[in-house]
Amino acid sequence: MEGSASTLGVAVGAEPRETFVINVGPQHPATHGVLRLKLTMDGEYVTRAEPVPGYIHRMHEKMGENRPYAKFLPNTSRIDYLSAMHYTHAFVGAVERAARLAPPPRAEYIRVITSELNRIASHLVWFGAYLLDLGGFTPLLYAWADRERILDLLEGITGSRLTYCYYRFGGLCNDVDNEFIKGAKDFVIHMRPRLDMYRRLVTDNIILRKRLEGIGHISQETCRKYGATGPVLRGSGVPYDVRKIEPYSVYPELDFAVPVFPQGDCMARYLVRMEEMRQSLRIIEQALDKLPGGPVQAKAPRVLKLPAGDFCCAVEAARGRFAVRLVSDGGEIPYRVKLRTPSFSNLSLFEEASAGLMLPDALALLGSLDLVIPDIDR
Amino acid sequence: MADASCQIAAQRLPAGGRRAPGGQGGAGVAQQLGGGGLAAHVGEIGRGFWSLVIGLGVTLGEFFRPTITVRYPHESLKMTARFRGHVELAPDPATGRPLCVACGSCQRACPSSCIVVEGSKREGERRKSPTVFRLDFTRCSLCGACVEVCPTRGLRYSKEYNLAGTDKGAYVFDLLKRLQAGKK
Amino acid sequence: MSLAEPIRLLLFLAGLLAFVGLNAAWLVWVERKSAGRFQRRPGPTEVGYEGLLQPVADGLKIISKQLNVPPNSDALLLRLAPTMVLAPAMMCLATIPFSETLAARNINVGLVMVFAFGSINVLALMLAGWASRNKYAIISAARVVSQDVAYEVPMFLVVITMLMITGTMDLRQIVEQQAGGFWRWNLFKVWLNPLMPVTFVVYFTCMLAETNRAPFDMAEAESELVAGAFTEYASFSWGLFFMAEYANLVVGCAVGTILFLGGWDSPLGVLPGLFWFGLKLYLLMFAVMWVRWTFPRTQFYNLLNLSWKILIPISLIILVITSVMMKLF
Repeated sequence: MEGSASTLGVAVGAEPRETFVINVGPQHPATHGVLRLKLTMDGEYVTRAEPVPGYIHRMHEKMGENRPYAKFLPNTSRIDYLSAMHYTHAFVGAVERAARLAPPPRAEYIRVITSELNRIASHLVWFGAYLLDLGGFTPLLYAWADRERILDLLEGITGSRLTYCYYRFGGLCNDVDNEFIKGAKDFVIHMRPRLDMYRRLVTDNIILRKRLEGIGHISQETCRKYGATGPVLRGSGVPYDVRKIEPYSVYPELDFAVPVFPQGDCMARYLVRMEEMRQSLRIIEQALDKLPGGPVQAKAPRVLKLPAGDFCCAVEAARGRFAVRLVSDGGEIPYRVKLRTPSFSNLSLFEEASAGLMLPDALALLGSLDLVIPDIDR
Repeated sequence: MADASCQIAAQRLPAGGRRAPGGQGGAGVAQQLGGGGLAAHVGEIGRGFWSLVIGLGVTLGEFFRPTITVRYPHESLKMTARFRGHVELAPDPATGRPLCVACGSCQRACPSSCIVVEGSKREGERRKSPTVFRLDFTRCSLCGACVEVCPTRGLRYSKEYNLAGTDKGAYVFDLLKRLQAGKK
Repeated sequence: MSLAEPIRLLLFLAGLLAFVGLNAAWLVWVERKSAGRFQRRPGPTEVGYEGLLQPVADGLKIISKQLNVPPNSDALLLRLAPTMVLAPAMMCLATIPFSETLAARNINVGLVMVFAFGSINVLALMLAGWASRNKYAIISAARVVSQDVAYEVPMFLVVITMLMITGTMDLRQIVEQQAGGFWRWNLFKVWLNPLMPVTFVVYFTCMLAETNRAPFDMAEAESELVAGAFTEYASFSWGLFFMAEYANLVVGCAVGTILFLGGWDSPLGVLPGLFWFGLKLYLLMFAVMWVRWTFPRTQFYNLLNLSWKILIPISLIILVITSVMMKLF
């Protein structure tokens, strides 16, 4: 075809197969964010996928180095805006460990409730966007309707809908009211049948099953090599969840299961997340029942100086293990704030896992990794 | 590693999903015809078709439910009590003057340097009052540090969300003027 | 009072053109509104009452855009392709009886004519992709051809089954055979073909695949990358493809109505035949949209597998069973 060589600038030599390079991104039709993938294609098949991140690098870690701890709080929500509560939790947890601050039990329970609500909201966004990638337009809107209820609940107590700045060092910035508690209980009752509806409409659907089963296999060895965590790891059969391995907050007092599926294909990762939503509902129910009274803020110094040293806190965010490492030199301003984000590690295995897949299957694999690009670039 | 009691093992595979990992295309059908037999294959087709019918039933049910959309701008929602619009000066209910004493705590607490406040003591008063109070909303992240750090509870969140505009300068709010104009 | 035949024909053809045009425009409205209702949202509401004038606004927008022809492409074929997609659909409509008296031209091999012209559609899409001289368009067009050819086989097998039952290719006679009450419709003639509902489903699926509607729109919704075979088409040419898609859908649903649902036959005997034909036609169209907004897209090899490995065996079985049943009864 005379058009191809000149339009693409590919040298047609004596190679047995001509490969060409296409760019997927940085602007996607689907809502992944600004990620550029350089795909070397042999006809329909991807021979090499090179992710080129960095389009939304906002230097959060550098910002951590030139402002006091309290002023870094808004940044934490914006690293991964879909599961903002978890990220704030990790940072606040690291500072609390360093400063020996213990938040009161009511604050801990409310943190767990809001974090799990945030996890469900994040998984709903993933669900809708993933189905959109695969060509089903309607489940997106249904997921959005459920997410609206969560966002309305969280707006009632925090005032924000996406980037909450709700946790403070030693507790929360304000208490929840009875309207929230009743709303959260109603939400749990409302959401369970909706999850059944998603199963009937989407999960059991033969078209979706044919798109996801057996596609994009990721072995446990690959996950270990690249440090993948979260549903990617649990979809390959490794029962690693920070809430069980390195328990924090009041998770040890709550009874919930960690879904693990051994197949390692896109369907397994999909099922992990759907089941996680169910387990989050269980956690929210129990936490609401066990919610103690009392204050929500422990006494914390106005100007916070952490002792010199190295402090770390890891949480199970919606995408995987998010860890904050603080290195303090004794002053008001940290020496180093290191953010270990799950999407960066989850993306790294894409190159290896997508080799030899057809393009739509490679994109199905990308969607199943549940990447949030600002989380990769920070 | 975590104990086995906390895992949900994958006993319930979706019905019929027995493809080889990484398999592409319909090789599975030939295997099934040879291995599982015709009945199994027909059963799978039937189950697959039935899953489509159930899906159609779900969407038809949703078709007859009312729409969720609020048709803005014909209708609008009432903001919750704690909604975080941009901050505004809180007046003293008795005098109507700002509670702010121009101490500058909010200016120092802001992570994004949004606030500029200057003040002086008026004749016969014990405390300063603000003469300039500017909020650069283009940089504000609504973190709430200013509201929380204020010693007199002089700042509160407004309920403004209708903030479309064409000029960046329109987002540098003069909060004293706003208070005097009596906007709520 | 009978008009001279050529004038009558001309009026009918003008009417058909108007029918196709109005259908394309307001079916978009129906599609967007029903998509909205399936998704619990209102759909277009601003332009006109409940958005009824939205197609007018969209049409004005499409016409006002620049018609650019890429320099490398084959200009003649590029401009010809949209017409080649639309014209056969309109010609098929010329032979479809909308009611007892409304048919542009009754042809005694009407059924064969419809499918013959329907196959030109495939060629036209390939031309569209080829003439664009754009690598992605060509790949996508090749896929469309492969998909359409694959689904024509079960479609024809099903139609042959129906032909065995009706014994005639004349569309008007097929409808007249089913007149007199809905139990006489072909869909319910299970003593002749016990798998009649399955036959109808196979026909419906093949029609969806032939017109490249979701869930079989892999080729054009390769907008994971680019816009598929229509990449190089701007404004009105693209609008023509769009119209052609809806025209093809109308033809497919009309033939389905005639073959299975009794055409203009009325189950209640009160309202005119045209009303019933329109009702059945648009119910089928609604079902097409319903399917589109419910399911995700099939992967390409699954699409072909469905045709070659599932639908063709099923249609062959139906054919054999029907012939046996017809011999026995």
